[in-house]
Amino acid sequence: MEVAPLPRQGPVWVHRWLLIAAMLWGIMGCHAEGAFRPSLDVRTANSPRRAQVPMVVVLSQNQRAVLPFQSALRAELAEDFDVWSCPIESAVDWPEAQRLIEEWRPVVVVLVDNPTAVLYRNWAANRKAPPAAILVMSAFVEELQPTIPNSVAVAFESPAVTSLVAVRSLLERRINRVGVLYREHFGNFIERQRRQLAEERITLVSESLTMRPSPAELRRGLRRLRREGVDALWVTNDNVLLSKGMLASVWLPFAERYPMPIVVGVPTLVGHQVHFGLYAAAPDIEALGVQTADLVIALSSRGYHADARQVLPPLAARTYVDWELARNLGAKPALKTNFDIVIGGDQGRKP
Amino acid sequence: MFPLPCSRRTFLRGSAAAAVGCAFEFGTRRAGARESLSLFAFVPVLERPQAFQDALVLALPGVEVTVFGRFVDFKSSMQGRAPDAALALGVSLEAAGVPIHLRGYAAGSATEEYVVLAKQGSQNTTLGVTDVVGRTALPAMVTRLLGLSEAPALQRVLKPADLLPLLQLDVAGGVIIPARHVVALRRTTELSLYVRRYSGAQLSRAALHFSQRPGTRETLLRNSLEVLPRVMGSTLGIDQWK
Repeated sequence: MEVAPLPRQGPVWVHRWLLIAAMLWGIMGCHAEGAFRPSLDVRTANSPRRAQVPMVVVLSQNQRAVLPFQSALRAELAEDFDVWSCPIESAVDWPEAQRLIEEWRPVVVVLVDNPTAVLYRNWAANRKAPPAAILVMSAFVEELQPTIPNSVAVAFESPAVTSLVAVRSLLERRINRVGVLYREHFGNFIERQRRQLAEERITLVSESLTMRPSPAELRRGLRRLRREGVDALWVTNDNVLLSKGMLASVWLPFAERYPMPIVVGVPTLVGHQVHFGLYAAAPDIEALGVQTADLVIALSSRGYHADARQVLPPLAARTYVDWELARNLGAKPALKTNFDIVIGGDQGRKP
Repeated sequence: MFPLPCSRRTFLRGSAAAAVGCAFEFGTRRAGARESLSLFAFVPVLERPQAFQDALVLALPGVEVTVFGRFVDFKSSMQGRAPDAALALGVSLEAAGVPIHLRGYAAGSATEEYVVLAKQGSQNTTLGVTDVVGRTALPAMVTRLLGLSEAPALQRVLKPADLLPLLQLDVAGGVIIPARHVVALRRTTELSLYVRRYSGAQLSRAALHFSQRPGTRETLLRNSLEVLPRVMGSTLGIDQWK
């Protein structure tokens, strides 16, 4: 199945990005409660520029989410690079950011989030030799990365294989067949996950839905998966399938009626108010900073020239488990320490 | 001036008492802070960092424990507000520039074997490794460890739990782990894996550094840390200190 070109504006793009923004918000809420001052202006965090030291510039919209990422990136690169940040609250800030990039002449620009990437793409397209760019914390990176000249990207969705293998190890029950519902637009993404899961001897049973499915269509899809005898469900980060209405009218009733392990990609769907997701894996923002630092080093060894098409998976995740649900589904108690955030149960552990 | 709800003399007496109380409370806290012993820990374990920290706190009552997830933070903290003691692999302490005062032993050896757990049929020559010495020192450490003539392509991760995904996502064709972690990792996955052994691939086990401040603090801390091999021996891979 072919994926349609990335729509520059439209419901899919916006929905997907909103879900990632919500995920970031959720991660930050759990990640370091009270550790950040929203009023902190990262412009003031830029250290004096050193002569002859190459510069890396981080362009971002969501300052709060970016702080641990930037802190890791700075710490890892401090010896060899000056890492400066430039907040872009909205498109209004872009001319100023553009002026700074032209003045600072960074060797690498780190683009954090989709709106920033799109603004940068329009500028870079008209440059003869734009700096290398690394795209992080964005949706649709597979489609977006090739449109940004001289760029690489790190995907911002934890792969299904790592999550499902973690859940399989946790539970004293068979997890050989996993069901997933997806909108037809995301066929390629599902096929990649299927191949990775096959190596772990997990069969992905998938049901394609239309681009604007009704609750009835979603319900029918879930029934078909159940008839196929799936052992668990994997719910992708698709804000259309996970809208408030769909959750209330389809997902939650289904989860209540047919208890089974449900793996999600958004921490807020794991045991906060209702028992829905058993497990979520969200990218570890700090580790992403380290991964980005390694990409900067790799680019420097290649004269800051990126491959035409390169999207890497996130290498580390923060894991969340609803322990009450896990216990009901046959969790092995000894493996409770395998998760970063354990919600509920006798000894719930939160950061 | 706002009206006082009591006489001026009572108000002044009350204020003085409150000031004395605050000063006493502050003094007590400072004294408490002086008395509490501090330990920095940077050890790659299979458990999640928070679980490891919880276990250390439980095992070492009265010791203020800080677990680090990145070598660069561990090193810079050691150079700044030095703790009473530091627990890390011998190579990490050496890379941080601090001397080792006690070494962890298991079965009479202060070192342990490292192996490469590789994916059958993978053409990927990149090796995954947990970063225990920092980005710049890591390639040389791996080259020495495996006895290679030149540094292999490496993909570093911050914790051992992140190594398996490197194999699952084909980011690396093999991962470098302590031999004692092989069983646990294999139990988790259905990937076809095999073990590659390298002659002399040994790294020092967990070790301790003491800041050696005067007084009884070091003795107190040494006594506290004596329990670690007994209560967290399998996590740390040690059965005694020497």
